[in-house]
Amino acid sequence: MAKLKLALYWAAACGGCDVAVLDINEKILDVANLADIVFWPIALDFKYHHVEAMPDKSIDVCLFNGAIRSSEQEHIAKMLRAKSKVLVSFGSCACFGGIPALANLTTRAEIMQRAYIEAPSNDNPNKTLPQTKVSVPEGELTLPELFDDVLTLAQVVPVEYFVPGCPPTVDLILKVVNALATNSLPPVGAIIASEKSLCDECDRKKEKKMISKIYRTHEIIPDAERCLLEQGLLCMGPATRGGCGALCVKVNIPCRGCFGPPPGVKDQGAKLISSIASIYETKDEKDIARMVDEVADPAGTFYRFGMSNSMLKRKRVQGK
Amino acid sequence: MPLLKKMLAQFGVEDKRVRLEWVSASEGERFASIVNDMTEEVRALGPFSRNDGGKHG
Amino acid sequence: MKKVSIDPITRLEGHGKIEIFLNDAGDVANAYLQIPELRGFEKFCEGRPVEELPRIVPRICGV
Repeated sequence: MAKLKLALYWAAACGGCDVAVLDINEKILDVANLADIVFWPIALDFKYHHVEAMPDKSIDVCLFNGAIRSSEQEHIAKMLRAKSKVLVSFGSCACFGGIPALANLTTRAEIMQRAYIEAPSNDNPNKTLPQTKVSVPEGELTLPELFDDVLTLAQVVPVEYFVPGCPPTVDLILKVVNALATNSLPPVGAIIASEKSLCDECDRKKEKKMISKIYRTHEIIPDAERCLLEQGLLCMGPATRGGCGALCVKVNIPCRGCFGPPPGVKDQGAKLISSIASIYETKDEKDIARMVDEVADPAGTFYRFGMSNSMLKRKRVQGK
Repeated sequence: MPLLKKMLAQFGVEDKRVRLEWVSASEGERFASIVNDMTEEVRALGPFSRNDGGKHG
Repeated sequence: MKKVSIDPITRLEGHGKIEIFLNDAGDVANAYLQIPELRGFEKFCEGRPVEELPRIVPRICGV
């Protein structure tokens, strides 16, 4: 089999997914045997003009991580879609919006204001904000336009596969590499993880106990053997797809949902609210009000990684 | 419901846009009055802006 | 003026581009480093519970 052409790209990302690929350690040599990497900004010096020059569909597989929130990211997503036979939405940001999608609870104007003007460490007396076009003595400089909304990759271009995780685990990445090496990719549209919720993978004892108080994670040290939700911690397990090996729960912290909704669930937040409601024991209205108070940040917790993929997608702003 | 409303508030969805009532099939008049009340309340709030993956600020 | 673009900058975390303007003699008249990304951590961390931040801010940089 001729060497595959592989590309990796990052949009609104942190580099974690790219490092995760390198976390397969010596197996990266297998990848190098299997494929010629034709574009990978974190590791190789290929430029955008190299990609532009490639014929359509000449890239066999593109692993695209990061969410889409600027005109440049959208442009490169479309370019890589045209140049690639198979486009993989890699990591939680590309699949669901990820942490950058928390920006959907605010607006571009507020972000610019905070980052460039208000932040205490700034030295910007003229209150200059970045512009998409600026004239300098030598010529013109451009910057991409920032969107108000953070989008998933699939909300911008068609995608063949989804690999969730923040970052995807080494096991999952090796699954993808093996599938490529043996030409045995699943049917198009597949989410490469488990077909069950995290609770299924989690080893902890589930006693089907009801709870009457919700704790913030710093308020208690949970028992390492029992279900976290049953101990009153907000664990996204019931509303999250499995496949990660329950890594967070194994170190005694509750799941925050980075693998996205489980099969059959459209909205992680709605699912988690109904899961809590089903184990919460209340005596009266005051109890319920207290419990609601105990949930510190429902939107930011239930949609920590999945805001762009949720039903509401973003905070409503007046006049929009 | 209160938890849902708290979360929806973070999304800018006003309290009056969501309502849960238990109405039996035999309570026709009550059903009509609840629907009419809510219709008026929501109408007063104005259109619910949906940002369907909108991009620009 | 002739403009040479290095886009994207590579082998570091983050997005950047460098625009180099050359004068008629072919020497560098000026060079500009631009950062074409902003995710807004400074703003969207506001309102999040403080005990959650150690799980949010590492996503500024995964390297």
